[in-house]
Amino acid sequence: MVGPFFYESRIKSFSILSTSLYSKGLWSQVGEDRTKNTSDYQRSPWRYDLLRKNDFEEYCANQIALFKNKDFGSVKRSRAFRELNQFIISEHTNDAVDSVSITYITKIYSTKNSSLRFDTVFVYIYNPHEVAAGKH
Amino acid sequence: MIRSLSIYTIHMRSLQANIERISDYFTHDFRQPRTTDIFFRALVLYTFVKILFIWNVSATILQYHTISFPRSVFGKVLLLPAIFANTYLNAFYFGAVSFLILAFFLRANYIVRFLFFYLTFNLYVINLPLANGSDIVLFMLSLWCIPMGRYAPIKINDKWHLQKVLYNLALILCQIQIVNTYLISGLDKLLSETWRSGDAFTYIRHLDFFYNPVLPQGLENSSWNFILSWCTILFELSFVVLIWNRHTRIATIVVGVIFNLFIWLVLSIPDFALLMMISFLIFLKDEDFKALKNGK
Repeated sequence: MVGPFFYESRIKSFSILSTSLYSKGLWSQVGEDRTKNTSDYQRSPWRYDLLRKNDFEEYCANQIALFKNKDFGSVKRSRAFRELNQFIISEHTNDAVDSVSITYITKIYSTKNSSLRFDTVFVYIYNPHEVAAGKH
Repeated sequence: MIRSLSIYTIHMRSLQANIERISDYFTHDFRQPRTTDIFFRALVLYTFVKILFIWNVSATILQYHTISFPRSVFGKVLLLPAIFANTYLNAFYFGAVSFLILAFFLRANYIVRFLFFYLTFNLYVINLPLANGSDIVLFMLSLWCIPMGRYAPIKINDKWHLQKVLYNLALILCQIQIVNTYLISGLDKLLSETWRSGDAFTYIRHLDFFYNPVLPQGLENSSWNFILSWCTILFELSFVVLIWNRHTRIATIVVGVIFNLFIWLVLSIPDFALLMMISFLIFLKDEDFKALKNGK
């Protein structure tokens, strides 16, 4: 059985992963890759690959969110965290990265007062060299 | 007594005639052979294009992602291409693309159809972290394509032609599955206050990574959102009925194509929208393709 698509809970809220990298003594500007990738795709519709990158990021972030309330040691050993860590660094820079900050936020829109409510799922600031490689 | 007996006889004859008609429908001939061939080729072409578009991103992701494999022998055989792709992704995609070119141009026998399903299933497993609804729909449709083969002819006996029964049954079940997808989606929306009120489109407008502001006043007007919401619900529910009627079939498909183009453009889900448009091909009749070819 396939569907339903665009069910209520799927459209009422959405999650965004924000990232920032610390390199050469500076934190990079906080970026929301999913939003940027989507707008880049909308400008260049042949860049379908950008949408799939979004799917990967969402997949990893949702897997990591399952570790909520667990110690960071077990989070950083998880496969999803290791894969996401490598993905983020390789997507953003070729320079050596000293620290990484990732924040996963759920945005819930309210039609009553036309406002967005934010719910932080997780925030991690860590040393990427202490995280093992994603692939064995 | 005689009268009730005669009524019983009439009912029995009617029932017998209906059973014979249904039996004849499934056993007499391969229904819409041209349609099912075009449908299969369209799925092959879709997969070919999709691979070309995801090859690069898939290669990037697989530098970090390890595919999970089952321990059973059956599982390993089922996922043999994925196991190979885990180490030699480019070789796998090169083989897949070559196979799809052959499958598109050659007569699609059972082996080709089975291999196509095998490929789409493994593609789903390989790209699981990037997968969306379209990948599931693709391997589901490719599964129905296996019994929709006609080559090589297998004749068991003149009366009970298993090959035709399987072919016609797969054709009907594939159509029912597509219709069911719209039925479930339509009912879900009908039961949702958010969709009935039109608020759904207001929410969609705020999905940063879906919504494409191509429409003038892009889903800001609540009256338009209400109309769009009910158009969606009515289309999905009426599709279930109107697609079977010969007078409304083509019009329903045309509306369906417009509906999916809207999903493609406004909601940035090109692969899903394109696949759902391809799925409409299975509802066309061979005569439709002949008429199209003759320009009528």
